[in-house]
Amino acid sequence: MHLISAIANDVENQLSESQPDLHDPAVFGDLVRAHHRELIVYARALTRESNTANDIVQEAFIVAFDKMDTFDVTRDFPTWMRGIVRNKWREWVRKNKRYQYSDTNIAEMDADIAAWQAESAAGNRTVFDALSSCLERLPENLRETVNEFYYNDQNGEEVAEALGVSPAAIRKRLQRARELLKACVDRKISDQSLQES
Amino acid sequence: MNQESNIPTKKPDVMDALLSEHARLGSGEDTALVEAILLRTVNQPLELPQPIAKASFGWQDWAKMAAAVTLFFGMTALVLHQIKGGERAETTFQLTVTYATADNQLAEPDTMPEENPAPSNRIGIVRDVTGVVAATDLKPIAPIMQVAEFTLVETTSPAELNGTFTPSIDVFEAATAGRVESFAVSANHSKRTDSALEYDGKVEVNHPEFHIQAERLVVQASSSSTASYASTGSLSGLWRNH
Repeated sequence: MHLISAIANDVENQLSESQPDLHDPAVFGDLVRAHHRELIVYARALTRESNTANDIVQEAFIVAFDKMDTFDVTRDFPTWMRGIVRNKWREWVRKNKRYQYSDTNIAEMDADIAAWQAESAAGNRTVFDALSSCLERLPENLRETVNEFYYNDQNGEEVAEALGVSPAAIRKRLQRARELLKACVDRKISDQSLQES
Repeated sequence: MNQESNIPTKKPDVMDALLSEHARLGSGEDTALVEAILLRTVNQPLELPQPIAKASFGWQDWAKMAAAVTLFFGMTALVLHQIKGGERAETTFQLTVTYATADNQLAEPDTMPEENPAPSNRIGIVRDVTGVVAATDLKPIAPIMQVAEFTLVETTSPAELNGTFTPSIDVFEAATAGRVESFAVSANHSKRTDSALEYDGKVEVNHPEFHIQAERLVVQASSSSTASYASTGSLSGLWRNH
């Protein structure tokens, strides 16, 4: 009987040690800094709007702070936060009725973001660092297309005119570039995880 | 089919979002967003307890309070001044009237009732009655016995004489005969000097049995214990039937 009690206490202590104390302002601030960028990517993928994504992430952290007493210590903080972001996004979708995603698609995206957050929380290179590295490895025509479209903030027609190709070709290039970059980023994140383990 | 089923289903593109966010801020953190979150969570400004707020009552607060008090009294004085300016000055005198008449002016009223019983006619013959008045100002501002002299000038038109002047002059057998009368003087403005009471603007002298209107009335005091009441300007008498 004493042995069972001791084991239970030990598990409880381990859980409490592994989980952040959200009541500690410093801890909460560190969690915000560690996870807000990935959560913005998550919210941006869901909403397709930069400003809306930022608003949703901000509101999600405020909800987390207000409801920290209900935080389930058996779950990790990033998972809890993604759940809050999803709920905020669903509220937004109900109001805007623009589109919806299948649960499978959301689950896939959730898995990607979870892996990125895990690396970031572990203090390793972030997904943004991985992306920077992967961009350098893109073929020249894809890299310049990505550069014009995302980093120079031009639309498809403008990029097509600048590079002297059709808008359809630009769409294909961008699609191909995203696939290659996704594979590269996943590989780097995975390699990083393997090295840790 | 619910409404949501009409919403198109799309596939989220996490790489598109990642590239867009990377293009926006690179690998750094969104400082503005972090600050906004922290300000609304762990760095919320604390509300000071009430006693501390009271203890911090500084000179600015005192200055504000003084300004408010000054403004209050200033406004009050202004309002009172306006109210005072709008009110008509009014003083009630109790006069002991002693009539001194010249010639036969006092004799005429005695004869008028038989000749013309109409009260207006009876008054109409009262001309330039000069009286010497001993007055007691009931107001504290003039507690001494005063003697006044006033002149009542007949109104120009007999049509205006529509009342009776029953403090009959003929009851006074001698020039020193006297009686007590009460007059209420009201005017738009009044001023008290060392030697006189001055009334300006629509001066009205009210007596239970007559009414006098004038633009200006000066009640002058003499150096002795008596004072002379003199009407200046166009003091005209208009007898009214009360």
